[in-house]
Amino acid sequence: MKHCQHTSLLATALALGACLTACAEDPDALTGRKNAPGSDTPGANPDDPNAAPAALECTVKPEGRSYVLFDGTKLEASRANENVGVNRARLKPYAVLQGEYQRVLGLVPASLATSAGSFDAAPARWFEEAQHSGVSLNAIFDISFEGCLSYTKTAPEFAAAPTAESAATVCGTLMRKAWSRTASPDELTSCTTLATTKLAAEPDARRRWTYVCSSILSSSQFLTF
Amino acid sequence: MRIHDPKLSRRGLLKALAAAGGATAGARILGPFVPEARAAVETPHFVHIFFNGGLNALFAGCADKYLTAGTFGVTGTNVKRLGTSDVYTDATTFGTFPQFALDHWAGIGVKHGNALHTTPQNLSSGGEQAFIRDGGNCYLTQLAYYMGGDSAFKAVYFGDRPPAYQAQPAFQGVPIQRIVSLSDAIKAAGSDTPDPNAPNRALAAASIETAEEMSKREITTNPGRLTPLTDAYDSAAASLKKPAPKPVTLAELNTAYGLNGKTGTDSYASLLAGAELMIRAAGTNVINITDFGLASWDFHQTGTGGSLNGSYSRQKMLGTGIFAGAANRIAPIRTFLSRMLDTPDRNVVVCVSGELVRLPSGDHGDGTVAVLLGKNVKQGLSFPVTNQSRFAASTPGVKPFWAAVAAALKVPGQPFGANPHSALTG
Repeated sequence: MKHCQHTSLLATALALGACLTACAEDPDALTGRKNAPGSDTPGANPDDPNAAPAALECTVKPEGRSYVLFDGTKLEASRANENVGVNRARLKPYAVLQGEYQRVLGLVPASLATSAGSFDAAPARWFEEAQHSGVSLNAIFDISFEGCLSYTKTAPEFAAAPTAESAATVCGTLMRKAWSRTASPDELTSCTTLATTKLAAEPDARRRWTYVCSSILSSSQFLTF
Repeated sequence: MRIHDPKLSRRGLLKALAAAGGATAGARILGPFVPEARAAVETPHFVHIFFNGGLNALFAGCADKYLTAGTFGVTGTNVKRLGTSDVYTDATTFGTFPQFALDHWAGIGVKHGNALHTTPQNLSSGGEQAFIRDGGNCYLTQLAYYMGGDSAFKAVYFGDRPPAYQAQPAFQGVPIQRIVSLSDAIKAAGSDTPDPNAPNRALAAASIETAEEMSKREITTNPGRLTPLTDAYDSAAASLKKPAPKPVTLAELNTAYGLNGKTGTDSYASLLAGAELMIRAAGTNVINITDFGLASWDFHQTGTGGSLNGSYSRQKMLGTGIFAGAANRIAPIRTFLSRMLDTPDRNVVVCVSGELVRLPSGDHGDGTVAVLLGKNVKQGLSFPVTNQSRFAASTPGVKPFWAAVAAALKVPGQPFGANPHSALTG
């Protein structure tokens, strides 16, 4: 009996191990999220690293039962049906932003604590997904700017104005950290262009990096799950 | 409770978004129908103050209709006749509006034919939906587009939910966005006191534009929730690129509207203060203010004298009686009208309405009488209700009402068709 239990445990452990190995080799293999937003390998298409994920189109007829409702309509008639890994982004609610700034910057902008009113929080007894207007987005930029000012205040890598090389390094690192995925080449170019060209009028190197940091923290990749 | 239209499939939504995007792109390629520069000398602004659940026609100018039977508690001593016109309103509420508003008051009958409320369970029907939707479009965003100008926030709304309880579609690239903070709105418009530590406006604009560039892929692949972000990025950057307007301070608004130092938009007074702020600081074209709550002006109660809708409405407007302790709605509206309606360089048109008139029984009518106030509005009634709160068969519908609004705003052309209320507007 005891031997039998050991054999079962061993078999289970081996099966789990095989599964984990498969997952480690390709993190998107089991979810089908390869080439999808949030994938760690953006533009997995080797011919075009900036390629967008597969089109939002149903390619396989869905399987499943049909359920007739009391009014005669079918339950599945209104079911959303599209590819895995697309149209899944959701804006982060205000409640989680403190932790998000802490995770990325190692600090929480002081003004965030008094900014609940800046976010489209749902009223009591009401459910509504967060949404942003131009006003609230500007508020997010300002909050991020405050946090990024502290973030760039003393670190030596922000003492000198951005160069093409340093911008690529800082942008890539910060984008990876903020977005939890690696930036695509186009996304990286946007960031480095901002740092090296568009912000050239800013004479203070640390403030220039602050704008770069704020831009990344105002992007949809940081603002969404 | 989630606001969504169960009849709108995801695929349908994507098609609609693609079509809208194509239309917008096409419009940009061909050039906008309405030029950016305005023909009118005075900058037009439209403010819709909406009492969800229904505004009794006695307030909108038809009080005399109810005098004989004393319907809704109307008596010879609680109504006010405006000048020598046929406009009679409630003396203690709407009758206390500034004289300029009383002199430029048109009661416009709108027979939309729907006696139901629009609610989260009835999104595709009801009076509110009928009043602001033009098929797949929204009159608010259409009007904001046709008004032209270069505001970064052409249409906004205040309140605890979107107009008609659902996100309204952009029209020709003009979205309607929610404002939830007065202090943020002042900052976004650049009208606050300069802060040496704040980001430079031009560099902040470049940074936000870059954020949009970086977000492009994410937004493209997540149109369901992220498409409005594009409008948000565009508006934020466009606003930052503009020269700072004349200062509007929170202190000034706080004093004028009695905000008790609060900058959120969770009080009724803050909604009206927000409307002034968005006009002065952002040059916003269209502002929608919907009172809080679900059909919160829907008073069906009856008493020995019949419907109590009139007395309950009065009490709620003034924060008295059974609504003692609630906010006075009339005072901030009066403040707004006093400060904005006769501004020299602006043409501010205000509409005060619900989606339904009330029948003598207290039940719903199938249309509304909207109060239009503005420089180019003449005193009078156009297609008012009868003493039974019924509309004549010839009463125009919704689009002609928006034609009247456009005329009062001096919008070029007739984007909503002929104006049957031209004797009072235009």
